Amino acid sequence: MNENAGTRKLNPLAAILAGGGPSWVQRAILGAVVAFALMLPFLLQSNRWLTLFTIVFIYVVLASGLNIVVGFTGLLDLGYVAFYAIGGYFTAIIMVQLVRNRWGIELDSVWWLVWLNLLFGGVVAAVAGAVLGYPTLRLRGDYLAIMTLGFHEIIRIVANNWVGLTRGPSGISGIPKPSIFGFDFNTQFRFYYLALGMALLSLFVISRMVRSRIGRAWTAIREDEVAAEAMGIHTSRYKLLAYAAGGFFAGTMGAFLGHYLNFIHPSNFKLMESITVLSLVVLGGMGNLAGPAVGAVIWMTLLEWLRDFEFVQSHPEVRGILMGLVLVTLMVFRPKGLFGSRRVALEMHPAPPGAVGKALVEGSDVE
Amino acid sequence: MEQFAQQLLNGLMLGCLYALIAVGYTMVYGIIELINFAFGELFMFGAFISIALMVDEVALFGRNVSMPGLSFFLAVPVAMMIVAAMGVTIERLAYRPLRNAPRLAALISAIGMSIFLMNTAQAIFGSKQVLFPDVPLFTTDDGFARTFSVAGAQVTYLQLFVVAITVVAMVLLNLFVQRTRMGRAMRASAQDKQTSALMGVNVNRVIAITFIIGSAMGALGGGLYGAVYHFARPDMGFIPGLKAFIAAVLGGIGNIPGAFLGGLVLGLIESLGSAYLPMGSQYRDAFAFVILILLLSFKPSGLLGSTVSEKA
Repeated sequence: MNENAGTRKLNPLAAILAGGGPSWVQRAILGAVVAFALMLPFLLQSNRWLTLFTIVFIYVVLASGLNIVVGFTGLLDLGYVAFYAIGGYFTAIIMVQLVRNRWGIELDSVWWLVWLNLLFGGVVAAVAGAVLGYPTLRLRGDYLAIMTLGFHEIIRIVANNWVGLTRGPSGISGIPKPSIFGFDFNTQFRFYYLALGMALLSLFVISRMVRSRIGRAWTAIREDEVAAEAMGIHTSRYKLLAYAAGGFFAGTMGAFLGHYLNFIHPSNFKLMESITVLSLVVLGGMGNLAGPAVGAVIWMTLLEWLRDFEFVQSHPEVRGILMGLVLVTLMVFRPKGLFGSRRVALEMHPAPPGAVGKALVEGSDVE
Repeated sequence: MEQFAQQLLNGLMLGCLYALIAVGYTMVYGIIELINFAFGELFMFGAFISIALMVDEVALFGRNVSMPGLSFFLAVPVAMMIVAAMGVTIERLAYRPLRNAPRLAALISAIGMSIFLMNTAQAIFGSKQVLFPDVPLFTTDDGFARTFSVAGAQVTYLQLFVVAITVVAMVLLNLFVQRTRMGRAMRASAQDKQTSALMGVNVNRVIAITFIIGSAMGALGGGLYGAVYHFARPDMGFIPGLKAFIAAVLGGIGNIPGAFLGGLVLGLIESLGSAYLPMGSQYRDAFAFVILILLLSFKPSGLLGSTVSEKA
């Protein structure tokens, strides 16, 4: 850790990842990345890679959403995938169990409901997040870790056992592909763009959020809750808002996953998924905007690519071992993540004299 | 009535197993305010290592290795020692460097450790369930559990053994914490680490010993759990570990008699709930978390504890 925050000049990449207001270099790089993502399907030969990147985009949103809770607000949510499951089951139950099976309505005629469900899946998950977080508000943040783990377990048990609602271990199939005014998202190519669009939109919303008054309140809570309270920040309200915001993005992506796979099953939402998303956030850097997204792209591509190896197929635990090691070693040696912001670096390590003031003046993620 | 007595008994035994893991959580949380998720995995290793020591041959990394075939009563203590060594190593590598880091960092390190250990166990012992060998003292020659009946309930020798050993362990542990010099150092460190250090307490050593005790107790719980349910599996520790933490919160975190009481209460609720509530057996794993939610909402200090509020 020979970071010398006071004297080292920020390189342009670090500057974008630090999440400050975009400079022209950052805008240029961002534009190049988006342009590359838009062109990618024309460069790739096989659907295999398009599928992989569609999954990666889902994880980009999940990691960025979890980053709101873990990175910006500093509270550990270990059951994040439960909200993802809520979104997925919400749309599956509404579309298949209710609209088609109960009311007997042809799903093609209610194509608009898919888009509404993406939104309302998120809203339901957001409410669940706030309700779940509520009992932990008065307590230490670490109880949230246990609560969320427990909540994940409850969701999994309900998904497996409430057969009348969730069809239990057989899962719900026949969730329709999205379509808009007769344009069907029925190929991998089209889904890639839909996922990319969702990821860009989510990242845009999250970036506006964390740079707003709300985002500054979250950061203040993470850094010193008592001081934040003393400065007039209603910490309970902002913590609930963070849980809800995190839940919203997971719920939306869960609904998206349902429509993408046409199938929802309890094994889509294993505990390891929550840990995977957490490792993306930690790897990319907690509390900065682009870190988890970059972490998701790199780490998920690697993890998915690893699946192609015969050794990994016969020993799926390799991924788990790798993930556990990454979490522990990063926390011990590089707690701000691979692309962490200087702000976090200062909190995680004693600062060299003068560095704090200098960082505050330069203001890497303060406006 | 008979069924009730039987469920009471099952709950009591399950509660003892939770209590053995809960001790580690409560002591460690009491001193360094860290939820050491890895205790659940150390419990699992306790079961696996006991099995490995009890059989003549075991498959490690898919290769057959010959083993000593110890008796249960020797295998479990040896497993406890091995797991205690693992616990100390984990503390040294994954938590001590983070002693002064924000709690979030240590907590993430703990969950990472837990995942790492679970998957490592899967690499070593395989993902399938491994059979726990019968213990001759507790089973008849044709493989049935030896039992005697009390008030219409069938009590197995093993259940009696589990309850007895847990009570003995809890009493000894409580005496250790209350009466010895090291115990006093532990209580002092739990109150205030810095002041204790100034008073000549070697806080790092205290924490290491806490991990030794907690891990050994977890391994004891794992060995007994394996003997009771006749299996070990890499993911067997995760949920019992969480429940044990909830038991510790239920009893009042940082409090050893509390961990025992919390474990018993949780075991009884699970056992009776799964027998008498509608759909109870499907939802038994959810009870503990419902209890946690109620507890955090109404009595966060637990049954025997003092309030732990958010410190900055």
